[in-house]
Amino acid sequence: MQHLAIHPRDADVSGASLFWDAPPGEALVRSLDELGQMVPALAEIVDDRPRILAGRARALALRRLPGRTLAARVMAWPGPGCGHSPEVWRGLVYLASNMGRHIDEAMLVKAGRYFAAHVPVPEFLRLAGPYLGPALAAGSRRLTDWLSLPETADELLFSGAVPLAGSAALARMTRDEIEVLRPWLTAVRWSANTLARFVTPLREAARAAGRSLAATAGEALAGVRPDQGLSPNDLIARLSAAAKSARYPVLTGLEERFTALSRGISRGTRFTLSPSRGFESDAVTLTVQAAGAADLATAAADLTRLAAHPDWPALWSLARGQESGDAPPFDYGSDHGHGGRARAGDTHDA
Amino acid sequence: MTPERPAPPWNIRAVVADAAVARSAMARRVRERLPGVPFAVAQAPQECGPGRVPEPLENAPADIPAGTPAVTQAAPLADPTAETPPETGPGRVLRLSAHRGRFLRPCPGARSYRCCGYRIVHIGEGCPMDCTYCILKAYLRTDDLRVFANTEAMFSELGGIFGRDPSRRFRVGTGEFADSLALESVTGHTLDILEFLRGHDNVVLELKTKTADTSWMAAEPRPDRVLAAFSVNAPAIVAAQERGAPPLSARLAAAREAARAGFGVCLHFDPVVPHPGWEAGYAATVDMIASFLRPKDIVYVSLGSLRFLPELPAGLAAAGILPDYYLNEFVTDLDGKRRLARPIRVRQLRHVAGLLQKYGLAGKLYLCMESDEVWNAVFGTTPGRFGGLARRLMEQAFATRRGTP
Repeated sequence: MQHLAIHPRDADVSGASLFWDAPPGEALVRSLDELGQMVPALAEIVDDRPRILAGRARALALRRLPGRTLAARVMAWPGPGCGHSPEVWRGLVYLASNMGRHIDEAMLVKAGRYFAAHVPVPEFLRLAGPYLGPALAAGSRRLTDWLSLPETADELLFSGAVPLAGSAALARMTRDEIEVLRPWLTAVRWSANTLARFVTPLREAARAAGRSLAATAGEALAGVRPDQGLSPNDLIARLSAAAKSARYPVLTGLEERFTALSRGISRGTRFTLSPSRGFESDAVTLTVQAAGAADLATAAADLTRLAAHPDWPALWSLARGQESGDAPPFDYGSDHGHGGRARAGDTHDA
Repeated sequence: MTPERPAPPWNIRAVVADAAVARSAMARRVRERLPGVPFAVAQAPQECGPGRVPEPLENAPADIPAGTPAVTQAAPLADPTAETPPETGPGRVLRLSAHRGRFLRPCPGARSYRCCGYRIVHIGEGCPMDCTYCILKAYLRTDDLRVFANTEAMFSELGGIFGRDPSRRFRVGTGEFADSLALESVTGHTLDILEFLRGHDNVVLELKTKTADTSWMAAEPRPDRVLAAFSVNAPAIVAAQERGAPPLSARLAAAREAARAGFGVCLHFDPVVPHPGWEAGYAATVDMIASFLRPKDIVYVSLGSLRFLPELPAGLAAAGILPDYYLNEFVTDLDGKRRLARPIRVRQLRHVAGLLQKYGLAGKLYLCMESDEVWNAVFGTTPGRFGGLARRLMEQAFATRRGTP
């Protein structure tokens, strides 16, 4: 095994297989300065120049310490017999040298992007699984889904706006669709659930209407700008409500009208009014709590006042009002001989 | 050179009979009519889980020929080289079972909606057609087709009920948990039933189907005691969502053939499906009906909105075949099913009812499993005002046919 002492500026640190490396922190620079390099970097020789396989941060840190050299161990791709292409081998060397490091969701995606350029995702998961350990075990499905997204989506995850679990809501979105939603996706931090409540209804509304997501979102979100100064929770609530309204225009319309009418009717009383499930029936449920005779007397007086409110017919006919169209009245008995109540005959039926 | 056998209908890949019915007349017919399809006998019905084909029995029924190799002893008579039924594979398994429950049962109508009062003759479960909206997909949880081959037990039960009081009328059908006629060419079930009903004038049998099968007419039943009922839908739905089902024109041609033979025809717009261009689509279907049938050929027409068990779309989505119409606005109804939001389904039902009214069928329409609110919105009346839906349909089913050739 060959070891080299390399001038840090001679080391090629641009390899794509160094997919996790970030700029060196001050602590690393100080440590190298005070204690020296304790673990050699890994390098391969390419065109007579050492290319770093692991240890990029150390190389960059040492560049800031005049007169220091980078200790590196030289490795070489074993050849096709190892079962991996040079690119995959480099990626595995890098993963192996980072074993034990805490791996977050962004790191999973970065590793995935690198390997997915060279092997199918399932093969990446098989090869990298032992090195990624628990981080992968917790989210291999999510990672697979995320890697099916355009790379432009990655910044949403890297910035912390969208978690890896958000891949389910974003699955199969195109680059253009992601760009359409980006202003809202980057405006707050989403959980998988809040993201699903925002994105899924919009996508379904677009699909159901045969329109583009851009057209649907443009219309649905017109009144909700990301820079309105709303709190994150309020913005998420507004966006989710707007998306739901686009997906369920009839039902949300009914809910809104019911809320407005019922508030007017029950104002000043202890009653709450609620519609039938899914507005299937015209019936309205009135609820009141009474903990004693006085409460009950108040409720009775409230009920009398409620009953006289002029908006009841509008409330009962809410769903019927939505049904109105230009169809002429139906004459159910116009062309049959059995109109009216059935006659008793000499038979009975089962 | 051995002549090629025709492919088995509905891609049936294996037949599995309960030991109790393996020697029944129906089992014999099935073996004869599916000569190339492996036939196995199961010890007991509980041994046959969905999708699983049991091994042939060591002790096969006596009418399976001696000398048939052990591995094929349950194979059809005509094909001693047939192999043991495969455990899995493309195609469906047809199970001939002994039904142990009641054969005559009420339609499982939801309590909160108006039911038509149809009584089910339970002939089997499962349909070989593959309609994306089919509620049986979620009910039955298996692709297997089950036919109850203990017909003697069925006729014994039905005879006791139908014969007890000849003045008591029954409107019954076989198309609730199965298509009435989809397997007729294999089982001959309906011919048996019609032969049995010959002695029960107080029963009208509705044969509800998506097929164009009219072979049952060979039994020459009383024309006023059989209703030939056909499921119809908008052309786009028939083409894209009723996979494996005959085209609408074939069904209507069969309906015309039945009408010309004097049988009453029923049509079922169920489900009315929201889809792009649905108004024009259903208008086209009504136009097509008008080109095949006269209003007087038709006894009644049902309209039913799309409804399904909540778990159905998830299953379709998992299979990657969720149709766009499931992206409409559905609510959980008063009985726990999912159905279109009321204003949307009223618009649809009113539209189709209006088309049929113009065609002269206003008094013959009814809504399948709808509330009084929807009845009022569509027809301006409710079943309670005309004596009840079941009673009306009973009268229409038993009415003397007029205008028959």
